Amino acid sequence: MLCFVGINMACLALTLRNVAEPAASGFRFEGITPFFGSFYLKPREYPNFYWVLVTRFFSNMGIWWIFSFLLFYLEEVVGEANPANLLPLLLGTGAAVAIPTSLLGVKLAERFGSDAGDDLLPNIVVQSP
Amino acid sequence: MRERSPIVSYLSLGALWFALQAQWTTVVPVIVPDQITAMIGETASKEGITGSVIAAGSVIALLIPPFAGALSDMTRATGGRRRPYLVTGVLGTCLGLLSLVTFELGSSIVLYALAFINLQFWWNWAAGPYAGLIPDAVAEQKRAIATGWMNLLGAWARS
Repeated sequence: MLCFVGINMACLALTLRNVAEPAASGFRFEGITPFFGSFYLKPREYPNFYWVLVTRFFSNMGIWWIFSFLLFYLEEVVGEANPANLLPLLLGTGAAVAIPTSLLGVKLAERFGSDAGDDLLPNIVVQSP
Repeated sequence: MRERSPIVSYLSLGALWFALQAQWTTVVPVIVPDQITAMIGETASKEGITGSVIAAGSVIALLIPPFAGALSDMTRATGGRRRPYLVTGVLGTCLGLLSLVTFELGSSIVLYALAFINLQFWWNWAAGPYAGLIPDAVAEQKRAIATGWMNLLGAWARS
């Protein structure tokens, strides 16, 4: 846990130091109803948002259904005596495959990402790992 | 973004994503099931309890990001409207992580669930506004590549 605390603090410092946000010009609070109403995006105006939402829903559902119980599966089905030590290695191996895929995603995002109205492909690609 | 190497800028922009992904892909699949087993022993209900604790946290994860994100949209702060949420969210996450360390054999599952919900709250308190940082800090034509770098850091964190 201390390791994660250290990583969190180091990364926070890096982000705060090197990322400059534009001068704050937040929207004005106009009441509870407009506030919660702002969560609704019209599907006709933002169809790509809903495509990304759906793909994220299914990809995350698949990932976490498996991840949450992988430790018990390794222990009880595979018969691994010390699954807490093996699981990070297993997850790391799988994620290593995602790195070249992500690099491909970066390249495709460079190629297609700047086309107005055609930002769906890079979003799907970056979700693919 | 300030004038500096684009790679440094993209890495800095995605650094927190690296931290949060590294933490989360260890806490949920490894630490929570392992701690619950340590707390209640090898019982038949440990999978159900683990699933319930994680599901309780997921409810928070469903509600907080849009709420915190919308609040950050309306925030006026020196240095940027996302920054207060990143700072408080990461500090809260660190305290939440440390609180999980205190649980051991015989500890209350209810308290553990609350500690996990607390961790989820702070993580998502930062993550919602963090998702808005790219549109705020990156020019429109560079957003896709910035997102790609962010995902690359996430994949690296998981490995």
